[in-house]
Amino acid sequence: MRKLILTLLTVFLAVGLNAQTRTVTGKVTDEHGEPLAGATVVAGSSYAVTDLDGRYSLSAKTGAEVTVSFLGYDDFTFTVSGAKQDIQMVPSEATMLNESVAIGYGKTTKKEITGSVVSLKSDDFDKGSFTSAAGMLQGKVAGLTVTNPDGGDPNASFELLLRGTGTLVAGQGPLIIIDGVADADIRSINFQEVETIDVLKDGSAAAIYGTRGSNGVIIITTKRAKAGHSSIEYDGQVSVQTVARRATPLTASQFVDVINKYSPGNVASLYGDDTDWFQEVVRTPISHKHSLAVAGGSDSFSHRTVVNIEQNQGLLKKNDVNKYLYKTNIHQEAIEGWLSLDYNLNYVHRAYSGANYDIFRQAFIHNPTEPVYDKNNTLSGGYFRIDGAMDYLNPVAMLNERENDSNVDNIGASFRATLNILPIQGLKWDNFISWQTERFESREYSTRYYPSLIGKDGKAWISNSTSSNIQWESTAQYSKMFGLHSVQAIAGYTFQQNVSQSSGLENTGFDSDLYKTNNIGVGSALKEGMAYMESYKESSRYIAFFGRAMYNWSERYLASVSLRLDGSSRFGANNKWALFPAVSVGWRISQEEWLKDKPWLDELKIRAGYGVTGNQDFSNYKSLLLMSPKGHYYHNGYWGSSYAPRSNANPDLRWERKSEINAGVDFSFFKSRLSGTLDLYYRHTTDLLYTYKVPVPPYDYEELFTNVGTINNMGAELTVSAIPVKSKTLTWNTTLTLSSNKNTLAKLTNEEFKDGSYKMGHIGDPINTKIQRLIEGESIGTFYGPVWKGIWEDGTDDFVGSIAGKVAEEYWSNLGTAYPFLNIGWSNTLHYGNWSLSATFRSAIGGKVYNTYRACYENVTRIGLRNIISSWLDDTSFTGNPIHSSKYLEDATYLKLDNVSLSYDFNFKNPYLKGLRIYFSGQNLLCITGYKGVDPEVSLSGLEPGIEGTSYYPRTRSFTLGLNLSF
Amino acid sequence: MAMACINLEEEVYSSISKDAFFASENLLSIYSARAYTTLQAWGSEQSMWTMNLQLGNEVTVPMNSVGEWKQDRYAQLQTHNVKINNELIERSWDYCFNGIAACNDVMYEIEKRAKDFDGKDRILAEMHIIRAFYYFLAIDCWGNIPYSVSKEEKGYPEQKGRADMCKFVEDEILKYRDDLAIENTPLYYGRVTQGMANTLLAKLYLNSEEWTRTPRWKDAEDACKKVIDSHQYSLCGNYKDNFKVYNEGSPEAIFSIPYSTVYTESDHNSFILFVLTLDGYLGPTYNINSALWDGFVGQPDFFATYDDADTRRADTWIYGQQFDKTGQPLHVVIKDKKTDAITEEFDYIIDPSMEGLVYDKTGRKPTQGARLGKWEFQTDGLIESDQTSMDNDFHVFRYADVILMYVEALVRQGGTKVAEAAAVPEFQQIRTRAGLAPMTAAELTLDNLYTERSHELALEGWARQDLIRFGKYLEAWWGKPAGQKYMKLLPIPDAKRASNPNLNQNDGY
Repeated sequence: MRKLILTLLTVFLAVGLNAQTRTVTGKVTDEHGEPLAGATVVAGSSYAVTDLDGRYSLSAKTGAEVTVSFLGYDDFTFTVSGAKQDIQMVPSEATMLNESVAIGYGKTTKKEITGSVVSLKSDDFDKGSFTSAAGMLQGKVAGLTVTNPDGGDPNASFELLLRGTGTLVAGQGPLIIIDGVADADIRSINFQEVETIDVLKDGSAAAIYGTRGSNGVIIITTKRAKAGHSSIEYDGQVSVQTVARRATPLTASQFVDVINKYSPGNVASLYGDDTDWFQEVVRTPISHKHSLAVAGGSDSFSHRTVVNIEQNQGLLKKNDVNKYLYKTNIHQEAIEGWLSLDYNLNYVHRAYSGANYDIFRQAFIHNPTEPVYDKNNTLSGGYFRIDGAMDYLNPVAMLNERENDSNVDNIGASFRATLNILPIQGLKWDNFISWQTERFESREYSTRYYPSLIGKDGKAWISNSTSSNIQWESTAQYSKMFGLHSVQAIAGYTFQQNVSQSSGLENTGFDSDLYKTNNIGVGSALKEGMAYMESYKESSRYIAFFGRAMYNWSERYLASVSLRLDGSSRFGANNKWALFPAVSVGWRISQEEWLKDKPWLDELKIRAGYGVTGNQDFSNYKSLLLMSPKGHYYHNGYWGSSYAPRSNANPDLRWERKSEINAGVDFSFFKSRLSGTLDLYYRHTTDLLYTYKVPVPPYDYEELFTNVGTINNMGAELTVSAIPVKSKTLTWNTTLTLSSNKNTLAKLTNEEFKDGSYKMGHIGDPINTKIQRLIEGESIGTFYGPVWKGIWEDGTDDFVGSIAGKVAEEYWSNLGTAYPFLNIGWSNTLHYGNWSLSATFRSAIGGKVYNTYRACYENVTRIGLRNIISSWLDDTSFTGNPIHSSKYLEDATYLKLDNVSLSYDFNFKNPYLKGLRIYFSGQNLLCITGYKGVDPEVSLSGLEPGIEGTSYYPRTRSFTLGLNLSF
Repeated sequence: MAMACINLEEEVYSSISKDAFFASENLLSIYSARAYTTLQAWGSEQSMWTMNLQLGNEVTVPMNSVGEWKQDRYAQLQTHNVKINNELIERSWDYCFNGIAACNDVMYEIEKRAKDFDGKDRILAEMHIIRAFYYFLAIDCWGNIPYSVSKEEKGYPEQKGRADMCKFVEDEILKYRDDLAIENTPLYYGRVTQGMANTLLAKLYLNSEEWTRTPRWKDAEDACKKVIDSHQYSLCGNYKDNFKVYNEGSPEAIFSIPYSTVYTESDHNSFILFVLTLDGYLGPTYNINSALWDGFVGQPDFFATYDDADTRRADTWIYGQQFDKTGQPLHVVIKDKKTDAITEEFDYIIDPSMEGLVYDKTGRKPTQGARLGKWEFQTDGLIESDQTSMDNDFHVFRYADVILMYVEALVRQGGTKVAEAAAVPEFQQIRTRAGLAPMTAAELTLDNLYTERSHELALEGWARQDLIRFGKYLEAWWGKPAGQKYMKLLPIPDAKRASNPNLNQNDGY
């Protein structure tokens, strides 16, 4: 205690002696001597922004360090000595190269990296409104396809696919790490909070993540606590959406005409009304989002706290998603630089009413001459209803007579303590502990008038689940320069455990709909033994030891090696542990003496890497023989339960193994005016998991989940960034990403396991056929079918080689694959004074998409009670029954204008209000395509890519007006 | 803690991993029970039993008046023009080999881990004999079948011929028979006993000439005699008592598959006869409130073979005037749903000759074709909309069958044995129980014996085997042309050959 007082006294004395506060003024100019407006000048807790003439005024103590920063320029630091200090800023030509890049368990700089890693900063993202941070990646990373297959559903998840499909049935999504937490749910953060996203693409970069690295790794870092004066930032936005494209059925008058002219036998299906069923179930959705971030503190203690509220409406009525987020990050330095501490707490509450996509299908097929309501029908609750019509439900009744409310709480806490072992410079020991839990509850009540449940007297369904994830990571890191030798090394251990459990209750037969789900036991089905309950629990454990060493000589010759020993509880008893090595090298040619002083060249690096990764994204317990109750047996007058196997034991079950070679070039010319990256890769994935039929006996169960197949992906990725215009007033930044991938299923069966299903892509009634096949030597997602020639005079389809109007399945032709040949993203930003305008285009060239709407509804034989698609009127010569063929397979090429944003920044000298930005953005504005269906951009993941479903939630075009205030 | 850092054992919560079953004897017997529950698929719609009904001459499933049952899978069986992907054949294959796998697994686990406990040898012996039963069925249907008797074998099972497999089944029975219980008490009802093992052995020997070209009539006689001399079984006074709803007390039952309306209710393990044969007009008569599929009826030529005095005709088939619940003659009136006008009305009188019906061309009217009524339909109202199983147990091996086999074995040996056969009192009791005169030694021809068997055991699943053994399977009969020799064996399903390349297809397919 005495020592502390003494210390404090010393500090006060020192302050008293040295701290002479004075006002420092000056002018900040650019390299040409022109004033820079809006540069920030910071000295401890005092803060200034330069005016239009580049002038600033700041009170600071003598000897204090002042930092001046401005976007695109190197930070300038000086020590206060006099009253006046003019500053000429140097443009940060090297900034890009020194940008830090997350590489998993550490960081390096862009110039030192040897793997294929894309690092995105907040400037790279589109401005606007996103339902998920994943949406910000769309079109931004060459080789990463980001799709929202469920259209405009505000609750939908994005699908991420990196460098092609490399698995049959295991997960395809990249490993997502948010602020150190592996396997994090991207929906638990708010897109405005994203600071950087780093994407580890190739095997050499991802191998440090072992059995979770095969699909790539996405490392998201959110905005962190920062020392400095208090800043408060508010961002508010309001969005409105309209339907972009949709499939249109016949209108009522068209329907009447078609029935009378082509299908007079169905005049009984004309009910005389005029209903646009689609309009009956949709609305103009309006959403708003508000985010308030507070940050600040000293070097030794700082925090950042965010509160976020979102209310999102979906296009479908009653489809709402509300999100409330609280997140705080505290950073603390302790024990004289020995200890750095970082705490995170976050809580996200999502409350939503999920969309029943079948409503869109029912609205499509519903007879437009039917009225919505039929007041006299007391059985249906006043809705118009055709008794006995199968799979034909009044969409308005489906919407009104069911309530579905779900609540999800994500609670997370993490703690990082870094011990800097100061006597050995560059050595630290880092420990990270995180605890994440998700609680989910869904309550659904369908009233006695829900059309498919008439007579059931209401149905209540309650389901709950919780999952928790504990993660501990301990690493020792060392980095040091020895003359021209630079070394960075890390060794670590990680442990992760997931436990999840769920339960569900269902009951029917309620005296009154008033109970909803709030008294589920009173339903009569419980007493009759027809109620339903379930519960489930599972856990998994994941353990790894890993190490990596990076070396460079004079920042010219670069090398990195890593090794990971990975274990997962999911693997079979004979294969619990796996080893994943990686090596990569780089040569920065631009650092060679003979190129070093070329003024036009900033950077030229070639690099190559090889790495092995795995995929263990499959269900738990797949290696075990599990027994489930099946049937009863009679024993001495009583019936007892009996059990049967529902899976075979497979003690050899293991990860899918991917080895990847990647070679790349990074270049930057003319002081970063033109820069880019080219990568070529070959990924060879073996031991693919699939389910095979096996003989019983010797097996216990007729199917075995085991490692057999091989998939190869090879491709090229090019990213080019340019600043074509850069003047005092106008800057234009543009980035083009191109990627092409060729997928080949090299092997599906072997000597031992020959019988795995290879017909995929079932299309339901009236096609009732599987339209894709897995064939060795071909791409996944390859369509097969008869080749359509035209329409016969009798109105039926004619196919190449058809016999009696049919082509037997064994004679079907390869009709092409769903995957595009080329993916293109093109982002542009224009800065003009305080104005910013950005536009992002995205395109996919090649690839096929199956137009299920046409296949199922573009034929007059189907009209009657149900409606058909209006495009049949374009060519009424087809009057036959629909048969699967190339007729319905269309080119999926498209060009989309994803985003246009315009913003204006006000810079105030006001100490209370520092900045104001107003922005307006539009999303999914334009789609140019020859595809006749709704949207050629459909899900490309899984084994059945490229099929547009008929229960489709239409994508919307959204317009957002936003306001950003900083205090 | 140090171990926890590298421990990767999976912890299972919502299923039971196999190890857990070996914690107690009670759990172990539950584990073994699955060899028995696999037997319950016997009575479901696409099963070993229904397949044999179709392939035999007793039952047919023509398209009915609403166009149902026109599935090719039934027509193939009816005409013996069987395709390699026929669903019933595949289900029957699964029935045998899923059962064999279950037995192999239970035996392996008991031998490997279970400590000694009372009755361990008996449980093991039961598993061996159930497996022998499944192999017996597979030998009967496919002849050349995959041989897999140990879980420790790796790779694809090899295919063995009929003679080898018959030898295997015989050896198994002889080796394990004496470990089984001999007594026919409720404790062993539905389980494998010595009586069951000897009946199985008798059937194996009886078919030996057909299957292995080596007649073993004397061995068949001896096996039957063992059952008879055990004095555990006797004939029911009343034939119908074997088939009543609660028939578990029948003294004739040697090996039964117990069924329950409550406990064997799913589609893969139920006794579904009422659904297969009754229709919506007859349901109310039996107080059955369940979907009825109106499919299975008797073949008219077979129906015509009954002697008018034979009470088993009426005990096996439903025909003639039907009655409603109150006992009044059933008169059907069909009205238009909208106008309420009567569109059709008729007296519900079933014509077993199905006159005027062309197989699968003209729809079979509800009143055409005798219904299968051997097992009493329960009228207690317990069969409701979602229930698919009757409560009647299925006696797979019945004492009357043993007596008829015994008589057959004697007759086939000829000489003095024929007179010996005519003197078997239970044989004559079977005749008189059916309202028929005793058979003299002179009348004991193979043809007469076949006819007697076909009536006594009608619908019990043995017709196909018996027709083959008596050399009648390739004859033409109602809805079926004369067949070729290869048809006596069934094709091995394509899917099974895909998953085991060692399997060669039977000749002719």
